[in-house]
Amino acid sequence: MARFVACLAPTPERSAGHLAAMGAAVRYGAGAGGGAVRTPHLALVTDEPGYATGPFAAYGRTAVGEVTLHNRPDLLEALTVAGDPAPPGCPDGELLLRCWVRLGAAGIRAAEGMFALAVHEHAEGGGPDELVLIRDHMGARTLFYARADDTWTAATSLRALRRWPALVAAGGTGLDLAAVRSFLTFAYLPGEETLLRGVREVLPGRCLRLAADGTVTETHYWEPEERLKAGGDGAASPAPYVLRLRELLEEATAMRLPPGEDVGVLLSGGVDSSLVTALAAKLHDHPVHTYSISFGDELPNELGYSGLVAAHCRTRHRILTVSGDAVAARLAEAAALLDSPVGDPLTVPNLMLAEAVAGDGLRVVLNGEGGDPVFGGPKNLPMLVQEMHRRRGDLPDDGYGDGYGHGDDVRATAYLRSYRKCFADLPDLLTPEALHALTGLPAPQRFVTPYLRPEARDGRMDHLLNQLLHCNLRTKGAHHILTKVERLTASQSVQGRSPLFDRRVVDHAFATPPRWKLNGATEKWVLKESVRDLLPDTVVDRPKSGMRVPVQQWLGGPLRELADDLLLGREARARGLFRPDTVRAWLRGEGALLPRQGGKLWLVLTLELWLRAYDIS
Amino acid sequence: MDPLIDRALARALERAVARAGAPGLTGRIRFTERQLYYEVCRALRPLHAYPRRVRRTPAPPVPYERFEAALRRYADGGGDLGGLLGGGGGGGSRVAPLAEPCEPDLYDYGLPRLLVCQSRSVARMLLANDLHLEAACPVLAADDLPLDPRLVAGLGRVDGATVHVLHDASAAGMALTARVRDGVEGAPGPVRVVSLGLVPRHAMALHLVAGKGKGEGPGKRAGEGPGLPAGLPATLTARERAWLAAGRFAEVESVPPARLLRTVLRLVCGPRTPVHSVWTGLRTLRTAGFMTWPAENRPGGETRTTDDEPATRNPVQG
Repeated sequence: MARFVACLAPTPERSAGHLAAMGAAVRYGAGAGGGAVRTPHLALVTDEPGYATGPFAAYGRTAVGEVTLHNRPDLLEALTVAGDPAPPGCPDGELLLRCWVRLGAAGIRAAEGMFALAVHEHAEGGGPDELVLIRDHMGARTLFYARADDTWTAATSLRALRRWPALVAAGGTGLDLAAVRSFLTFAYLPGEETLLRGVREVLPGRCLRLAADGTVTETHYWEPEERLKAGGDGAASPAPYVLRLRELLEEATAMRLPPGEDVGVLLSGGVDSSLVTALAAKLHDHPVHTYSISFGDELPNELGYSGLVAAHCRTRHRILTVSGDAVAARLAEAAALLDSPVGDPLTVPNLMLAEAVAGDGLRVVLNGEGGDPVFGGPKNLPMLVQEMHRRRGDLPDDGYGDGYGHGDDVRATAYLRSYRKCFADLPDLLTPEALHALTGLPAPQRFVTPYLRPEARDGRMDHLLNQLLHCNLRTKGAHHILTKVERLTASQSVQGRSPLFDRRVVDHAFATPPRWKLNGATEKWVLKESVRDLLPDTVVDRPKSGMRVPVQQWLGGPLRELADDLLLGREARARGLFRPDTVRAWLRGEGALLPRQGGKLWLVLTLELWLRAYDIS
Repeated sequence: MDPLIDRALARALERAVARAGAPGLTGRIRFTERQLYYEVCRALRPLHAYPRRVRRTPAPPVPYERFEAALRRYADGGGDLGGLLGGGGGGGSRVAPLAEPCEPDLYDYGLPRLLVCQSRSVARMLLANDLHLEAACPVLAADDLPLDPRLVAGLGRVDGATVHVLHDASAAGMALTARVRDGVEGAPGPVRVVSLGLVPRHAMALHLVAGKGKGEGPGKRAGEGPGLPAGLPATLTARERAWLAAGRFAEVESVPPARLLRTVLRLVCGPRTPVHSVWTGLRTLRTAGFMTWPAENRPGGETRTTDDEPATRNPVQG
C-alpha cells in the first residue's frame, strides 16, 4: 500500500533531493519491456494506505499513479485500433499512460475507473520538462500539488506535501483561513482549496500541465453536458430513458465486480444501495455480502428495510452495531485518515464497515453513493422554491447582513444557506480576529456559482434541476462522498466502488429530461423505475429518510469530555478561530432555533481533530 | 410625553431587539416592525409568562404610534436594530407579477406544500428567515390570490399536496381559508387546504396582545369593528365568538418570532396523519382553524403541553 509523489525541479538532482526530504522512496518499476524504469522525479510513499504503483514507462514518458480501471478490454482495443497495442498484462497505470500518450484526452475520457496519474514528460526538441497531472472523471481519487523553490510537487498524499521542507520554508503549509470558512459552510472542501495555504487539489475530469517556468495549463477532458433531445422534455415517453438506464446500470455494476471473488455491498436500506445490492446479486457469480449499521436498538434505524433487501436478494447479511463509545475512541483516527476534513458523523461507522469487510476477506465493496447527486435527491426542491421567489422579487434585500447577497450572487448564497451547516452562523462562531482576517478573501460562493450562474455561457446547463445536480456532483460528489469512501476503505486495503457514479450513467442522467428525474415530488424517479422489478415496492417507493446519526446523544455522552477539552481547551483557544461563548452555548444545546447544535459542533470538532492530526497551528 | 415612560420604553426596546432576534433557522432571526412592537409590549408587561390555564388576551400597554416614535429615537441614537426588516415589511402592496423564468423547467415539478399568509409582512418575515428553503414551501400573501396557475398545477402533481393558511385570530382571518380553497379549485389533482390558525383560543392560551376595533396599529384593521360576520367556523366556542364579536383580534405578528418560526415549520413539514371520518368532508370543519403552539424550545427537541391541540388535516377535493 502506498501513495505517490512526483517532483519537477530545475535539475534531476534537486528533484531527487526534494523527494528524499519528503520521505518518498524512489523505486525502480518495470517498463514495457520488463526493464527497470529509473527516474529521479517519481517516487512512492510507502507508509500510507493507497494504491500507488510505478513508476512505469511508455513511449518515452514515465509516470506514477493510483489507477484502477474498470474497462481494460475497451482501452486495449482502442490502443490496438490506434496501431499501438499495449502488452495484455500491463498494469492499469501503464495502460492509462499509454492511452494518454497515444490517444490524448480522448484516451483518458474513454477510461472508466478511479485514478490519479502523474506523467513526467521530456519536452520535445530539448525544451524544459513538464509534469502532467490527471484526475479521474468523478474524483474518486485525489491529487494535490504545490510549488516552492522553483519546483513543482504533486502527490496523492497531503502529508507528504505537509512535510516538504521547501514548502514549509515558503509558508505554504500554514492554515488557509478561507478554506476554514469553506469547510464550515459545506462540511467539506468543495473545490481546489486545501487547508494548507500553498497546496491545491486537481479538480476531477481535468488534466493539468505544470511547466518548469511555473505556469499551469488546465484541460477539461470531461464535464457533464446537458444533451436533451429537442422536444423531448415534456411529452416524450420515459420508457426509453428507463430501459437505457437499466442497461447502463447493469454494465456499470458488472464492470466493478471482482472476477472470481466474493463482493461486499454497503446496504443502508435506501433505494440507492438496495439497487446496487440487487444488481450485484443478479450479475455476480460469487456470493454477495451486505453490511448495515445500527446505532443501538433504542434509536431509529433502517434495519428493517436493509434486512428486507438482503432477504430478497439472498445476500450474506451482517449488521454492525456502532456505539457512541466506539465513535469517541476512533474519531481522531478517522479524521487523520482524510486528506481534508469531512464533517460527516458517519466517518467512524464507515471506517468500521470497511474493517468488517476486510475482516471477511473481501477486497472490493460496492456502495450506492451517487444516486442523489446524479439523479436528484431531496435537496433540490428548496432551491426550486427559492428561485420561484427570486423571480417574483419578493425575497427581502434590505442590506441586512450578508445572508442573501445581491444580484447574481443570490442563487449561490441561497444554495449555501440551504446546506444548513455553519454558513449563517459564521458571525457568531468565528472570533472577531478571524472574521477580520477573512475580509477580502474569496467567498465560498465561488465554488457553486460556475454551476448555478444564470447567464448564458458555454457549457451551461439550461435546466435548473440539471444545474443543481451538476453543482452537487462537482462539489459534494467529488470532494466529500467519493474521497471519503476512497480514503476510509483504502485504509483497510479494500476498494470502495460506486456504480452510480459511472461516467456513462452520469452522461445518461444529463441526457434524461429533468422531469423524469424529479417527477412530481418523487425524487430519482427514473432510477427507481429502472430497477422496480428487482426490489420490493416497499423499498422502491419509500421516501428518502437518510441515516439518522445520534450526534447530539454522542456529544452529550461519550464525546462530552473530549469535545469540551478539544473545543474549549488551551490549544483551541490559542488557535483563536472560534468564539468560546458560542461553542459553550452549542454544547449546552442552546443558541439555535432547531436542535441542530450537534451537527454544527461536529464540524468544529472534526476540524480541530484534523488540524491536530496534521500538526497545523 | 412622560420622560420616565420614554426611558422605560427605550430600555424595553433594547431588550426586545435582542429577544426578537434570537438564533433562528439560519443565523439570527429577522423580524418585522410589528413583531418588535409586540416584543416591546411583552417586555413592558410580561403577562405572557402567566400559566396557560389563565386564558386572557391583554390589551397593548403602549400605543403603536408611541412605539414608533421611540423606535425612531432609538435608531437616531445609534441603537442596534438587529434583524429588523427594512422597508416593505409592513405594506400590503402586491409584488411584481411572476417573471418568466430563465430556466424552462422551474414550474415542471410538483409542490407538496404551499403557505398563504394573511399578512404580506408575515410572509416576508418567513421568507427572510428561510422558511421556504427549510420546508421547500412557497410562502405567499393573501393579496397574491388567486394563486398562479403554475403553482396550482405544481400542487396538483403531488398526491396529498397541502395549502396551509396562516391568518390572524380575527373574523377576516378565519374567512381566508375558504378564499384560498376557492383559489385551488382548478388544480388537476386533490389539494388540501388547511388552516394553521390563529383562532381566539390560541391567542388566549398564549396571552397574545390583542387589539380591539378600529385604529389599532398602522391602519391595518380599518373596516373591522364590533360585530360577528356570517360564515365563521362552527367549532368556535361561545367564548371565542364573544371575543370576536367584541371586535377583538390578535395578529400572527404578536406571536414571538422564534415560536412562530418553529411552529409554522413543524406544522408545515410535520408528518400528516390522514383523518378518515364522516366529519372529514364537512365544510364547517374545513374552515376551522387550529394551530398547535409548542412550549419554549428545550434542548433535545420540542415538548407539547396539555394545551396543545393536534392540527386538523381536512382533506379537501379541489
